[in-house]
Amino acid sequence: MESATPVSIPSSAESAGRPVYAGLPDHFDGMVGSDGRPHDCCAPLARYLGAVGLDGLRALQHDAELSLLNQGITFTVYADDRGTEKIFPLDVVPRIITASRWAKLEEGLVQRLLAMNLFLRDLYGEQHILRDGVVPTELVVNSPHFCRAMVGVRAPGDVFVHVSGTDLIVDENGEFFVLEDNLRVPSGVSYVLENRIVMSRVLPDLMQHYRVRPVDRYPQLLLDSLRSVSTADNPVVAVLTPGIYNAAYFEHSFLAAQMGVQLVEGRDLVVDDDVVYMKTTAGLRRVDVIYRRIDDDFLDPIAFRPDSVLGVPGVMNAYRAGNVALANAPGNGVADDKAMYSYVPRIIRYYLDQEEILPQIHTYLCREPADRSYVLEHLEELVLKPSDGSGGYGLLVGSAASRAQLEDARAAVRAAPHRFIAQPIQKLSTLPTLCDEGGPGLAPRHVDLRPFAVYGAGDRIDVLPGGLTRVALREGSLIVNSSQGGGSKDTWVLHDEGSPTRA
Amino acid sequence: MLSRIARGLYQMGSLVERATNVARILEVNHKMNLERASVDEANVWLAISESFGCGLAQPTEEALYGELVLSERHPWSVKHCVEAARDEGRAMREHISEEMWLHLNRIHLQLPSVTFDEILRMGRSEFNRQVEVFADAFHGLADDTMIRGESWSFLRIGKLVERATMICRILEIKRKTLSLAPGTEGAPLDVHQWQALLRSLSGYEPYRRAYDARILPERVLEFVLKRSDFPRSLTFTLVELGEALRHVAGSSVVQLRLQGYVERLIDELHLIDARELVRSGSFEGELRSLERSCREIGPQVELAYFTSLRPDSAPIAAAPGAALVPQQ
Repeated sequence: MESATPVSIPSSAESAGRPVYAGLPDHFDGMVGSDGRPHDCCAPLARYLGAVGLDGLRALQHDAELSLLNQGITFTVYADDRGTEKIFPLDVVPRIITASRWAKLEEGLVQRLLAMNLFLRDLYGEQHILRDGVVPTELVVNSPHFCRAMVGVRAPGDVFVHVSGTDLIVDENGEFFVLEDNLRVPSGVSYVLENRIVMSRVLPDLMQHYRVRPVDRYPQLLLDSLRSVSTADNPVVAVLTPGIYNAAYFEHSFLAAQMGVQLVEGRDLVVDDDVVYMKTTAGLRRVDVIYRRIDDDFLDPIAFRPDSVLGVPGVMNAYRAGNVALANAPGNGVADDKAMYSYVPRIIRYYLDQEEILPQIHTYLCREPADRSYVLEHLEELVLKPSDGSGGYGLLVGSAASRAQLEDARAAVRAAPHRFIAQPIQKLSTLPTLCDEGGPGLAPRHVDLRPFAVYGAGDRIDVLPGGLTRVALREGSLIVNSSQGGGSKDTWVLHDEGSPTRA
Repeated sequence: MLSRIARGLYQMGSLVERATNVARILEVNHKMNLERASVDEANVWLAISESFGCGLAQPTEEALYGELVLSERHPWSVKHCVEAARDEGRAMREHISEEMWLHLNRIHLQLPSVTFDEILRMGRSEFNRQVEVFADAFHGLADDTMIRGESWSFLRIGKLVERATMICRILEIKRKTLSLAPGTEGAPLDVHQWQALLRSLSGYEPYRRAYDARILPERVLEFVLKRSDFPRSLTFTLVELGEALRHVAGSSVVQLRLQGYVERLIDELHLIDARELVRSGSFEGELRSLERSCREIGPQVELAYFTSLRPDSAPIAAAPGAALVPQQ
């Protein structure tokens, strides 16, 4: 079979005078096996890369980046003084996921979301799961994300998790693992859509060869699911953004434009008699569903932080009165907390009476004495994470930390154990990525995957076939967050198994 | 359309127009100064300083440039207007065209570094011309690249309201240095002043083409106030404004009343007899009244479109229409 040869693609490594791409020892590579031969589904991609050559690949990469820059597809980096707008680098080598592999992933995601949504409904309702002792009550009530204003609230359409973006990794055996649930305001879907537009321009022939499932239905799926939870006849949807200085502003305006709905700021909305209106040139217009891209804390200065100028005073009262739907529901953070993560298999079993389809990573809860002492002793082998953090901030990779950093981390754990969890350092899988440093060509870089799902009334869940593959562009780095120097790849979910022989 | 977006576009149009008008006023006075015969220099600048609330006791040209061109805070400063317009543009990129955004960004990259010394080096006229060209090109781009929707209309309304107010303001500044006493018309200085008035509205050449080279006060007033085919006459500006308002009008009482207000103002202008104005010396009072009426338009636009009154809410003014009749 033609695919059974090592990949002759531009790379820093050489074999018998030819550049050969190889993965890292003891890590799974998405393109080649440990023998250096491409996986079946990747054979056409490998051939294509070989034919294009390094110069060709660099030219394609340049085209892709220019295209993103010209369109102003940028995000904002907070900790950066020089020019806060950056493009999210897109690597031109796509990630390929076959239909059968995706089917299992999709099934696992749907299961997990159903359980999480039931969990939230229960937590803010009858709290059976706490009374049955499956999840510790104090973990819930002490969570900074447990939202008292939500207690007793029936979410419209019984939906809490309208949009989710679950972070997955592939372990050394090539299996997908859930790394993190994002049930609050997950971002990144606009890059999935934009990356695809760019890729279909720079790699049309390859994309035509593979039968790639489209992602451009997402705005329609999102709009349908947002409208489905409202009882209004012709519900008016608005996207609520904190404003142009927010890191994800591009995504907010992109989604609003794609859905054909208004992009509003807090000051555009007003609540009168528990009904939400937007201020327009033709007077006040009622809003039925708010897809809010503002954190809970800032959503309503009356209910939450009084100093918030981004939110809408009174919107929580309107929500509680059932006059407006908020997506996602406030208070979801209690369920995607990194400490709650370790209970998810039990949550799935409790509500669905099923075993979890997608495995997840063993997690040490520093609040438990036994786990804590293990973490303090084995910190070099672990990743330490703040249990309420996100975006890769405050994360410590034990093996890469200095002695002083480890000591500081230990002190922090001892001081506030409930604020931390730890997990074994994962051997994140790699994918060939075009690199400048360390010699020319493709080199293995660590990746994760964030697929997006929308949840509508009647427990209808649509998982977008694709997702954001984030890549740690620095050699050896495990941190893929865009705010920490990560890039992205287009994720091609195939209609079939990507037969290596099809021309 | 969201009120915030509409207001942003309105302000953008108004800020750009304001920048060019300030540059025009400074330019004309600069030219006059070059040829000054008996006018006390301070007087020219004093009239401007007073009109724009600069609060300068002994205004010099440099001090005025500091306030009206280079200040980052003075609400009429060219720099402030351009920067504020660019900020609005950044917040509403989806509502203006790419070309307009690039144009705003270009001047934003050039302007902050400009100092008075640099203006002197390149020549005041050259600098003022650049500001005028920027604004003309901006409005031209808007007309050539924007969909004729609400966005375009609000941008235009902002420009036209600002222009109407500024025409009155320019007349008012000039009035202080103009003499209307019978017999003095045609004196070299006066001719010069009337010319300057026309120039600051890009009207000198059109005037000459419409009439002839003789500068007569009543003709100039007729031209600047009533001419229906000259883009910077007050009548033309208000007619365009009325059109733009009709384009975005809904059924709300305040919106309809605003239209009526502008139409009545146009009627008022129609009835003005320029010759009579000059002869009777009622020029000053009439001008004041016009300026007051034009200044009323802005707040009414705010009320009608940006405060989001509910369509069913009661009229705002105590006596309907009372405050909306142009004052005599």
